[in-house]
Amino acid sequence: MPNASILREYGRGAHGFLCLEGLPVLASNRDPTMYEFGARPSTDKELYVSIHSGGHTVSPERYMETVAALQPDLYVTLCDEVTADAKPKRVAASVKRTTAWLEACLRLHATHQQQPQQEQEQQPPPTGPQDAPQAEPADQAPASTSAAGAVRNAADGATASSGGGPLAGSLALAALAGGALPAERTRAAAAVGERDGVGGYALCGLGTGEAPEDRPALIAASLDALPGGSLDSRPVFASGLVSSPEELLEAVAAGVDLLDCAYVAQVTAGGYALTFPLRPPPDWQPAQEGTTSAAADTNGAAAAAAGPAPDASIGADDTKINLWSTSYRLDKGPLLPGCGCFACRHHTRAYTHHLLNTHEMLADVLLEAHNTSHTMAFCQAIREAISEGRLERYRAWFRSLRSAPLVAAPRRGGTAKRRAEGDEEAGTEAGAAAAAGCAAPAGAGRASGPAKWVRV
Amino acid sequence: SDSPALKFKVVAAQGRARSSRMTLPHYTAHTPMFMPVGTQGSVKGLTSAQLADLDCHVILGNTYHLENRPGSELVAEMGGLHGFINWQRGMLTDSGGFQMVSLLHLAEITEEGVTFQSPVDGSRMLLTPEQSIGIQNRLGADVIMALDDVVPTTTNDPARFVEATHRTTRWIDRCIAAHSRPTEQNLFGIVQGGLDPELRRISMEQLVARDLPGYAIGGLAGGESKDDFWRVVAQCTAGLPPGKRRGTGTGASGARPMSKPRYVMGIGYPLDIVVCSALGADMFDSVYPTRTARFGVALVPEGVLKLKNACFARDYRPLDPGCSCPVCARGTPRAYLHNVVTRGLASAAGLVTLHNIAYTQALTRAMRQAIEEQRFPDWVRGYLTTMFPKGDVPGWVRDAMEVAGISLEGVATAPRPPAGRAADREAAEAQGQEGGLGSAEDKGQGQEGGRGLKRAAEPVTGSA
Ligand SMILES: [Zn+2]
Ligand SMILES: [Zn+2]
Repeated sequence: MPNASILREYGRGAHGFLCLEGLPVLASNRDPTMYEFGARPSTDKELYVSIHSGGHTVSPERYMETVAALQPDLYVTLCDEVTADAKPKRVAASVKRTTAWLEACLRLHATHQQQPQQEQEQQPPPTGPQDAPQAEPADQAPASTSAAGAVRNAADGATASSGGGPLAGSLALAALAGGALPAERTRAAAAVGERDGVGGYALCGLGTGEAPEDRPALIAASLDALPGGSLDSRPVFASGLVSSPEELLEAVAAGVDLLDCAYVAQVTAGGYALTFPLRPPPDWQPAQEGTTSAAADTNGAAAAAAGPAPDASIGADDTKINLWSTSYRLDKGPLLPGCGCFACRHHTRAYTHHLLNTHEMLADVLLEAHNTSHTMAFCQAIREAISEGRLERYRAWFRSLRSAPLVAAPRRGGTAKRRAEGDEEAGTEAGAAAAAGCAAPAGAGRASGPAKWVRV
Repeated sequence: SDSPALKFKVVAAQGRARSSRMTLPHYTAHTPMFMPVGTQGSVKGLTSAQLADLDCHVILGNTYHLENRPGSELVAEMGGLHGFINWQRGMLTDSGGFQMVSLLHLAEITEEGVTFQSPVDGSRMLLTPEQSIGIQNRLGADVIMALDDVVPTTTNDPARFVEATHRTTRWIDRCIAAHSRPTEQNLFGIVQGGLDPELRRISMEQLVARDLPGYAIGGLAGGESKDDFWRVVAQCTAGLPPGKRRGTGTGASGARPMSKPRYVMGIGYPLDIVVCSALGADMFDSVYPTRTARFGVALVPEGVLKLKNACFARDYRPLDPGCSCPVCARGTPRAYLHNVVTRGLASAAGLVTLHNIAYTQALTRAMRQAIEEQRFPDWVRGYLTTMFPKGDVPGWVRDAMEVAGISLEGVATAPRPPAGRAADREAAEAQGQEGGLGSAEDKGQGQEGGRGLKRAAEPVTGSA
């Protein structure tokens, strides 16, 4: 994104600038596909970030200027993020800073809510038809318009009384820091609480090296420290913490509502197409009824239900296939039989393999169309399971699919970086992820709780 | 036409320009027509569905690249190029020879064919007319091109042009003999002869005698001056089988030769497309619109927008308010495109590519409509006025329009700009070309460069 002054002059925010009218936009503080941590230490006054245009220092003032120029539906407040291996002292400093910056961000939010945007009134930019066809394959369009509505409703509710400024319709997601230390996460979340102006929460610092199995406890340390009922009306966003479908499912079970597209970008960059099943067969039964912990213990019968084991020699695992494999040279089938996405309806595995092999851009286009569609459908299936009160059963089924221990997709530095350059990160400060296209609104987060996102 | 795989019908003509319907096995294409180049079975990030939405009628595949990867045998097994890339409209493949000569070291033309060094293992390889046609038969495009002996017009060796002209004729006979699918694919011959009108005349006479379904004008767009370029096009469009409408002089019974499509290879600058159409050409291809998009250059009626230019950082207008492509229709600000283009993002190239293809298709569509409504000269005048608001229409365009019978009174009002190479280079600069006409990548028939292949500094033209 260009600097904030250009966006401010433009006056129609990220929606207009990125041609995302009608879609909710979330401005994240972090691009999980390229964020570089701690190239230089931050101070209490400013965050140091290193991005495509070099190193920058970002004060809460500069950060909120940019957020105001983006006019997002949701945004993450400024966070001094640390990686999972950060020393306790560093984590404590990050919590202290992030808490202080939240204070500053909310204060500035109030200012930007009120400030009328002069430029906008003076120079109304040209408007294009909003229902025009998209440059991307149609299937990359958001699958869930209700998610958009929910965000808007939440935003309206939080700011109904505020006046015409650029952030009048924006929801602040308070950054919850604390690294990989549960006690620090609890302390950080308790300090945030339900203070005025907090419209939701962002779990920061996850997906930075902590073991996936430790993650639910870290999420719980943050969310359980919040006052009772505060999550009933506030969404929880998490960036970059998913590198497998299990992790997405477990994050949702732990209370996450919104996730960014890092996982889709990661598998696409590796030449993978997601192929895991989305719904249990109607007659599926857990290996041992009753206890959820037993379901994690995959037994032979459950593994057999998942079908033949994937051929690891051609880069496949239980969740995806690798189209670089020469075994697809003559494969006339779609990426995933039965999938209704654009790529699967129109093109073969053989063609995708050829496009990868010849380094044609279209390979990424097709794989991303499919992987986005599949991930959205996965979220839809999870939402259904939650709203029908059978999430535990769904999780047990999903765990039973794995015939082999979970293998994380290899992170390829080079390709991840290349992918990242295709994303729209907001200048030095905020990564504007198109919430509709990238994030995965799960509708309701807590495993057993009622549907969230209902404004009270 | 009497080809079983091609029906060519001129539906309207005005002056030398004509609007036609070319019925191919897979699609009825409308001409004048621009054909985007899908080098390796894909047009730079666009899906075949998007190409259809952009009103593309025929797209190109490059035989040399496709035979390297994935190979014509595999393509045949996958249902031909149409099935492999899922493109249900028209397709055209080139012979592969030009790419070898322009891309590979040690390529050499002998009577047998084009010999070259394999980029894979360095071994000596040979592409004969028979092999080229065999590969193209397997790829299965609607139009296939003869292997020709193409000599860059900049070569300073008259004897070489004589040899190439006659060899091209000898090779067309070998191509015809090798062509195994004449009822499903159309073999086009390629007129050679450099800049020599007499050689061009001989080449046309010999090729027309073979009564092929269509004819290409080859050897151009390779660095010759614009003056030379348009004169060759004018001579060949006049010399190839006539394009009179049925009932206005051409007996359907065939006392005079039937009308045939005329294809100028390697032409992609919008102004060149307009001039060639005015001179009676029907088909064009070039990587220019897609390649220039990757440099951040957008085609607009006024010329080009070099989006990297700082003046676009705060320009919130769409690329072209009159364009109906998805990028413009959504109002994508130039400032956004400037931002992503200057950072070299792949997504930026995709957006500008989409617009540029839409632009070329809209351009040819507008010409067809103007011809059919018998207002083509007015349309040309309007086009030139928009592009040259100061009236400084280049001299070669003025000369070509005079031959085309289109008056530029009130349009070419400024004194005639200086002619020659410098002016041509300037014009190329204005089209957004990085290195002007001298750039090897823009040479010849505008073919997409091979990735990772060494490129000869000067095209090898073979030895005695
Ligand atoms: Zn699919
Ligand atoms: Zn456009």
